[in-house]
This record gives sequence, structure tokens and C-alpha cells, in this order.
Amino acid sequence: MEELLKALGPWPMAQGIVIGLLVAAAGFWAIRRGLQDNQRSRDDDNEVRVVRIEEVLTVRIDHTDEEKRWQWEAYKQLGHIEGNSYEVVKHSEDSVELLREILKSINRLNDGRWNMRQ
Amino acid sequence: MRLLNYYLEGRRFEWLITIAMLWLAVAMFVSPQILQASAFQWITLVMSPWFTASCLFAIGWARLVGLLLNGHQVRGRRVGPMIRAVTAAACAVMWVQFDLALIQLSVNQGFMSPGVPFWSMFVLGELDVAYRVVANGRTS
Repeated sequence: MEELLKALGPWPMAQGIVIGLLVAAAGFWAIRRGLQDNQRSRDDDNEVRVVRIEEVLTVRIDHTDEEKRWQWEAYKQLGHIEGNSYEVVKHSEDSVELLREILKSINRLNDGRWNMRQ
Repeated sequence: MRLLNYYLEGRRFEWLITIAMLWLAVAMFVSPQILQASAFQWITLVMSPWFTASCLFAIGWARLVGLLLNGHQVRGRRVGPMIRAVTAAACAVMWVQFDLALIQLSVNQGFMSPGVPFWSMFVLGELDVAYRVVANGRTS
């Protein structure tokens, strides 16, 4: 091949034609091979191949006015529950303090009774 | 956007080359000295600028038609892929002439022209397109 191209060196037109014909033959072979592969895959599958193109859909939810009111009410109730939880904690702390005071009083009573016995 | 994707999906390289071909053809019709004054001057030894421009325009136009036909059927057969495959092979023949011109320039100047790797790969890319288009025909 190289000798052929070197021999054609003085005749660039012939060189271009020869190489052009070689590339054209390669192109013809590629097309033929592609058609054969396509035919082979059709025979194997017995049906035309289907190409799936995935599509991502964005969905927007539109609530009715009634649903929006229910949503608002639900959020309000959640707010009440949150506020109540803080109240519950505060009351629990107060209860614990009161119980401590009661325990102290019981201890003072017992101390007084013991002192009286002495 | 969906319409654009319908035509572009899987064939961006072909669209780019088609636009480049038509662009160069129009430019050469306007200014025939483009080839003569460039690194591709060796092409003008075998083909006149008008002939080169006409070939580029004809093949580019045929390729554009093949790309736009997409999945349309003519007499029950999809002709788009075959047109694209044949024009891809024709483009490979054209690009090898450009490549040869750069190789000739490289031989003359004693070192490789920087365009040689790119045009050589264009030739291989077009042969790959010619195979893939008919081997993996889309059904849509």
C-alpha cells in the first residue's frame, strides 16, 4: 500500500482517486455490515427494536379552596399541640418542685417527732 | 424543546458536520480563494474551488434532508437512515481528500500539520456513522 502511494506521489490526482476509492469501499462495507447486523437483530428478536426514551414529568398539585382551608386548620392545630407541649413541660417541672417541697415537709415532721421522743 | 430533541437525539455529530459543510460551501461560493490561500491549497490541484464547493453543498443538502426525514416512510421504507449512511460515506471520501492535502503539506514542510489528526478522525467518525445509522435504526 505504501509503495503504491509513493509510486503515485507525482500524480496527486491519481493518489486522491485511489485513496478516495478505498475509503468509499470502506464506507460501502460499513453500510453493508450495518444492514446485516440490523437484519440479524430483527431475526433474533422477531420484532423491531424499540428504543425507550425516559421522560421526567413534574407534577403540580392544585388544591381546592376547601382543601386549602383544611390544610390551614391542620397547621393551626399542630401549632396548638406544639404550644401545649411546652406548657406540659413547665407544669411537669412545677409538679416536681412541689413534690420536693412535700418531701422536705415530711422529713421536717419526722425530725420533729424524733426530737420529741428524745 | 421536545421537537428539537426529536431531531437531535443521537445525531448531534451529523448535524454539526452538516452545518459546517453548508457553511463552508456558501463561504467558498462567495470567496473561492478560501481553499487556495489556506493549508488545503493542495486540494485545488485535483479539484477546482467551484467543484469542491458544489460537492460540499450537494452532499450537505442531501444529508440535511436525510436528518429531517427522520422516521418518515416512503413506500413503506424508512429512507432517512440510508440517505444519512450514504452521505456519511461520501463525506468520509471528501474528508480524506482534505486529509491528504494536509499530509502533502506536511511532507513538503518537513513536519506534521496540526490538522492531520483531526481530519483523519473525521474520516473514521463518518465511517462509524455510516455503520451505526443503518445498524441501530430508530423506530420513532
